[in-house]
Amino acid sequence: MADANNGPTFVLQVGIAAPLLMDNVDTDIISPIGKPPVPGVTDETRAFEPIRFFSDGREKRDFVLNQEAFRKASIILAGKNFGTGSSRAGAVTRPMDGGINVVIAESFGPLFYDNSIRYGLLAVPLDKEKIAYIAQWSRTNPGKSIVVDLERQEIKIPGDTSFDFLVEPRVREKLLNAHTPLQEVLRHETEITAFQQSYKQSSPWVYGE
Amino acid sequence: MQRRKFLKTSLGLGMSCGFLPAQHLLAQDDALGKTIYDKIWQAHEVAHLGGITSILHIDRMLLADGGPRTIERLLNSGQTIKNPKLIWTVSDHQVSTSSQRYTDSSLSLGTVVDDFDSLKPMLDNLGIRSYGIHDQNQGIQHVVGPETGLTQPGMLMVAGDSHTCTHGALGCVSWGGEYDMHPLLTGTVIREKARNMRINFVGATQEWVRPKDLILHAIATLGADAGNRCALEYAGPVIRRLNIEERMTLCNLAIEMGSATGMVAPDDTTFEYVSTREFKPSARYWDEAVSYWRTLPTDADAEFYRDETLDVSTLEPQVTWGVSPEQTIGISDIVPSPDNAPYEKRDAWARALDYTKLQPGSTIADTPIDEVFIGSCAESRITDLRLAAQVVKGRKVAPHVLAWAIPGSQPIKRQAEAEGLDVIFKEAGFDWREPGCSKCYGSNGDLVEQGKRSVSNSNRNYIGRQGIDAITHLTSTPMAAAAAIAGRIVDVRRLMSGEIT
Repeated sequence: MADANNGPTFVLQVGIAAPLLMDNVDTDIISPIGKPPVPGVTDETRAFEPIRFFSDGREKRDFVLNQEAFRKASIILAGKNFGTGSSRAGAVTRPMDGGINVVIAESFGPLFYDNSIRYGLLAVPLDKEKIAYIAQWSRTNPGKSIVVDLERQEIKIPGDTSFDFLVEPRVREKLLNAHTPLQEVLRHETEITAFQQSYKQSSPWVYGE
Repeated sequence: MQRRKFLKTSLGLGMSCGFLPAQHLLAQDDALGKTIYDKIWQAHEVAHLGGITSILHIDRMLLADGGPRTIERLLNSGQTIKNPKLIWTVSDHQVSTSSQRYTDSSLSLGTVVDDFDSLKPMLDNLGIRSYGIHDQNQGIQHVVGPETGLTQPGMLMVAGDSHTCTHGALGCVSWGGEYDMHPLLTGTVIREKARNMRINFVGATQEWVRPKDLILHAIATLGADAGNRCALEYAGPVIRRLNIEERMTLCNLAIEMGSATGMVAPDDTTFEYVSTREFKPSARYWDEAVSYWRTLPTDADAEFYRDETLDVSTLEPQVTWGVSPEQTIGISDIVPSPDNAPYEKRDAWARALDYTKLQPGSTIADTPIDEVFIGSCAESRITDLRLAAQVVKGRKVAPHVLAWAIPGSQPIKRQAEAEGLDVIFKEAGFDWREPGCSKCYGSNGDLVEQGKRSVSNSNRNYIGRQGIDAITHLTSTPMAAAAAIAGRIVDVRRLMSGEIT
């Protein structure tokens, strides 16, 4: 499983993009908790279990990763609010266990977004029209890959077109250079110490005084 | 009041010069009106990392069930916990809600009960407050924080659980999803600043219309992603009239609108609430704290990225019909048809109806149900339980319905029992249980039976959330209580007026 404390990296992904163009794909769909798994499910197929399988273990044919052209997808194309819901790490790590390293969506649930940075899955916000374009291209070019390049902040559809995207500068730095959050914070240790000394003086009640 | 001004430096780190130096941003900021979120953010900003990202000081870090073991692991690896007195831990998600749990620790998930018992001396020694099931303060973390006074206005607090936004009801900034080691080791987090959003609730609400109805209506109107990258402030005359527990319900569901956090500006209601709490500021600092808290409300000239006003004077009790909190209608409405959905939502509505097995065009009222769950960090506080008891008093739960009532914390349970609410619930046929998260999502094994239909006063109606193929209808607590009595989804107002039984 992906490990947040090892400073995961992301540089570039070449892979098949699977259209899952639903809004509000929530964390309980991506990674159910507390329920027994359906029969036959593996670590690679556990993500999206409730919309991927019937409870007897049969595959749901309309789920995109069950379709031959997209079984090996490493990129998901989604709608609004992908990963809405809880803070569970599995919402990011289970898709990663199944080979998904990029989600391109109109917007993301805030805690899924945080976890994506933590575990090194690249969450790319993109306009609906561009996502629809990539989805259409992927459907008409089954088995063909696109390129998601974090360094250049560019999605490239070979022989076709490319789209720029923008991620927060700190996220790009972190993922390209395998920084851990602890390393990032400790660079500012002097400022933290100064701040916290002064803060304790000005807000004693916060410390139980 | 000018407080806590610190020199902030821009990192630069090979970034283009398109980003303004932090000092410049700060000077510019000071010229503009600020929101409560801006003010609390600024008061906790240690360093700016470029873009919209900063390192922030944490006033409270809240750890749930795994907390004691996490601390032990860090100590065993030779690490030092920073600001241990600002950390606290409580057992809620994994504990059994059975009354047998005090004598049989195997009823709870994993080793959570024993961990809190055996590691308590270590935690006490560090000054980390811990509440396992044998402690008189144990309960659901987002009930316990405000109730004990560990949560206070103006604070920045973080936790792992997504409903940490609940604490914003006291006028603080709080969010979930923080479970890295660096907050424990440095007392700080790295965060992207959200945009400011406000919802003003105006009008006089009708009897039996609860904060859950306000927020479900807001999510249905604005969308489950309306708060994307926003910090959401609830404002307006309706909010001012709510007590702190009611404000917590609103803030609890801020995350269901995709918001980074939810807040209500502190006022006299807040200060009065905090003044009776165990861990309130001492008498020595009380006045200073309150005068600081009075500076926190949003300035009149502050600007919002998104500012909405909702008139709720005609709002009726709400109920969800689908698998997202935005799929909500009024109790007298009919189940919507995908044919009438906005184009981009057609598929989602059809999928939702396929799962919830409802017929478009039929009334949501009178839908037969199997289970009722009253509990959760959304609504399990004394105000909620009193209303539910008012509904079930002298009535009986429908014979085919399994109904649970779970007080949010041990203090609430004691208070409810002192008022005789437990007797009312039990005589009606409810199972009166011990504090914990329970069937809200069942990580402790409390699940809605496979394929059954549940009315729940919690906050998520996702596919499979409460159990395999379980169907969840979110409502207010009194609406859930009314459904238990009637054995079907009903308008609590009609039950209380005697119009239906």
